[in-house]
Amino acid sequence: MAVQKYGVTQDMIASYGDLVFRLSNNIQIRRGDPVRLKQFDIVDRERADLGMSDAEIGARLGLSLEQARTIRIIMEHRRFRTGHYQRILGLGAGKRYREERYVSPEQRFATSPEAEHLRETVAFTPPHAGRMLERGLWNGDTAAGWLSRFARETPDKPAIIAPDATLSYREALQRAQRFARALTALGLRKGDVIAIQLPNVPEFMLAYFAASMMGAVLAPMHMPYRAREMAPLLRHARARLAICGPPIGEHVPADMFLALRNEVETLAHVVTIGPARPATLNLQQLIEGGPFEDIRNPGVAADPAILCFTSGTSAAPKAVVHNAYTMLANNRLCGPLYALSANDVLLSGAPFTHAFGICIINFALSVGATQLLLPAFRPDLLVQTIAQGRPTLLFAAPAHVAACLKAGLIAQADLSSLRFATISGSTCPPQLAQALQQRMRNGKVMQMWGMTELFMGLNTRLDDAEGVRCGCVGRPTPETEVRIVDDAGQPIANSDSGELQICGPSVFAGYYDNAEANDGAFVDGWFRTGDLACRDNEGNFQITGRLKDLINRGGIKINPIDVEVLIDKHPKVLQSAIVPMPDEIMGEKACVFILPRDGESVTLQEICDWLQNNGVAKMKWPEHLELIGEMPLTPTRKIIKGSLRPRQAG
Amino acid sequence: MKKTVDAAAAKRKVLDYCLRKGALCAGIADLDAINRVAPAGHRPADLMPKVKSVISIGVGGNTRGAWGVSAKALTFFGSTEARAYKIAYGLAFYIEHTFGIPAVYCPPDMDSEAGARVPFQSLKLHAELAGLGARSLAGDILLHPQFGYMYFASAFTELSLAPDEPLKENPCPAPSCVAMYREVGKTPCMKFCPVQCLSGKLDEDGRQAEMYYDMAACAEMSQQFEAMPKVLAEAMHQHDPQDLDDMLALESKLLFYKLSTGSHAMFGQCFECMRVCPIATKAPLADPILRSEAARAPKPASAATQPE
Repeated sequence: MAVQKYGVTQDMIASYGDLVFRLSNNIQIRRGDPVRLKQFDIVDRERADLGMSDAEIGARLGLSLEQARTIRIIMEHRRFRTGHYQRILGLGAGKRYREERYVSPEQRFATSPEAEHLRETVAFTPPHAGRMLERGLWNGDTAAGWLSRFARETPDKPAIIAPDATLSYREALQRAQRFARALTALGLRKGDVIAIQLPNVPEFMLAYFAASMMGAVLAPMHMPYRAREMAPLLRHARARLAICGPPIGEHVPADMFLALRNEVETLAHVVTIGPARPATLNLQQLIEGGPFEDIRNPGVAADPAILCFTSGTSAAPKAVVHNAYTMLANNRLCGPLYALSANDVLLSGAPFTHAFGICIINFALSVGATQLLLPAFRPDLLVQTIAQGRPTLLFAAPAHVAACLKAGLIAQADLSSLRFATISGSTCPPQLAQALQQRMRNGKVMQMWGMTELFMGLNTRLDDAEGVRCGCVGRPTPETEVRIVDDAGQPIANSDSGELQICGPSVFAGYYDNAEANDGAFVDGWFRTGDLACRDNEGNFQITGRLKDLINRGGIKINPIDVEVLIDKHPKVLQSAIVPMPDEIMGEKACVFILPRDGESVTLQEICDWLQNNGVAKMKWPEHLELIGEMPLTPTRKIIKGSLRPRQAG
Repeated sequence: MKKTVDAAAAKRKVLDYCLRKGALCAGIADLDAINRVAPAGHRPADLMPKVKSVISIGVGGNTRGAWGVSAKALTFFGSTEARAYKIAYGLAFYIEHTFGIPAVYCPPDMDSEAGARVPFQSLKLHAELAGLGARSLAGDILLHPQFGYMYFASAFTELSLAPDEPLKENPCPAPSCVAMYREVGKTPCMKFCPVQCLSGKLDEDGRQAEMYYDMAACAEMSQQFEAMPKVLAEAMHQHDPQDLDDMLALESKLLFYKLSTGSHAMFGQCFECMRVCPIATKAPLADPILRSEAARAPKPASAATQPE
């Protein structure tokens, strides 16, 4: 606003401004009812409080009318705040404005810098996002939205059946809502990361639902992790709150997380489902004491929803962030392939701390089915849970099936309730799938291939022949595009093995805060899975290995997976893994790590003889053998080849 | 040539015209009293030098259900002033045609020399002195015990008409509001104002002792013509083009829409104080059906608010 107009200076505004503003109609004070009662003397006496015209103000203060007006207008301009109509926009019919409940949009949508940073990880290219949304492959579905829907439609239906508790959809919704409100009351906001280290218990699911409701990002931590593994992950995720379980032997998770607060600057709260510990919060108490206020900025599908660590180093963990778009697309699109219905009861052998487990939660939720819980895998418990809980669908890793078979439990198991059992998590030997199929009278063995980065990429179909369902990982999931490329990145013929590349509605956008991992992760919009695969003439895929597991022996690349499968059949071998071993002449040679069966030992010569007898070319034979007492496995029972370091061969 | 006019008959005709055209009530304001209260430059003679009478017209007519709609919709339900202006406009012609005496429709607009919130004439003052309502604790909004909350229009004429008296009693605060005030120190209008622009005191008898109205805060809420220059000024000071774009496209887009369409939305008040007011929402004769029934009933003593 111009000054010097009509002789008004900044000094005059400073001197007269507040008084002019108050004398004007901006502030009106009336005592009694003098106008109605025609008490003109009172009107005259209190004119300043009733509100004066500019001329009256000018006359009173010794200013011209124009000066009084200019000063008034400048003061109004300076004082006026904009956007106040926001206060009533959200008031529904019959609702009254209450000052104590009002939260401005600025407060309501406030997020931390860490949350803003994390959000960048789900920034897809506009053309890709546009395509996905336009075709309806991404929509507004969220886990919380599905839970709410079925709590409304089938409130009394069991949503979660655990060994010691059953929660209906209504109960699950109510508890999750209260937990979400309690977390909000603790100061957590949209985009804040909640680390969780719990087995497959109802509290895990409630935390997952609560995070979805409030737009927080759940970061599952594998159960075996201890402080050493956990610290870099929590730091990388900028976790604000950790949820953990009761003591396991001498290990007290709550104490571990409390101690980690010294190493993880952002970690403010520790919530436990175990016994009370000083400085921790009890999850059950938070739920029971959760306030009833609305969640002011609920999560939506575009928000980051989950952060899963895949691999990487402690200095640069590889964190995959999904929003509900990418996380739920597969569940929605694959449900019809599995004929999923609300009548299904799903059992996950995979831990919920892994993307595979999360995927199973979402499958049940997508149709209002029931999640049967096996808190932690043990062969006898899995078989017992199937017999007693009567699941219709089982999702398990090959190692789960192998362990049950090895324990001799499958033969006597009652698997009659199963419509199908899907095996995923790592490459499944056909004979393992067939062994399970033989014992499933009413159901079918299925296979699925996926990664944390994309959940499900390939799966077999219910109407596939048994040979297909047991012998490969099937075809691309709906709307997913898959190609196999050679070293030069060129698509190759069906029967040849090459790198599997994938794009589609469930593929993530990139690793969180890891430029090195993101470098080369995508090529022309295709995600490089690092898995090797080939495709038969019917379009069915087989995973043939990992790109980084290939052994480059003097320029010839050897895929060890077939050899491993054969070695695993050796009567003295329980499990094997072949990894490259540096060699001065050949560059790399194959080294086999073998976990022998109990009381057995095996030599390199015996293994080579075995391979020779099975017709394996000599160039593929391992040239060094190391016996180990325990095979390093991921929580989904996949061998961690990176942990197998050959001692230098003599 | 002026006709000879029977003042009493003329008044009846004038008021009857207003009621027939849809006014809830009408009356004649005391010109001398107006001149004692209105500041110089805003008195009737400043608009019509030979004015002898000020006719005030009240229009309202929300259903009770209308007061229960969402807040953002209520801003549209509440504005009924256009009907009042239409009647006043017609009344000026009617007076000239019927009596051959000059009359003017009093423009409700702002005095361009006095700013965006200072009108040529205070229609509220005219209405109050004509007995169409009394000042309430809700920022001096006039309330009538029978018709509740109204919008007002005025017509001026050189025809002499006998003035009516202001209301004998002020219906505000209602007994329930007094009870609430004694309980929590606030009446409903004070408690539920979105910008807390109202406060006040009641005396021991439950009558208004003091009304405090922060009109600036009220304007921040609803009179967005005040906000518009601020938004534009803020926009001009944005250094980042994206911020500027966001500012003009997001929050303010609604403002531009309102300005461009001239929809009057929120250009007055948000009505939240009125929707919690028992007088405004439960006025017995705000309902046109009830009103017409009342009109068919035996004629009351005061003619000012009932059609013949």
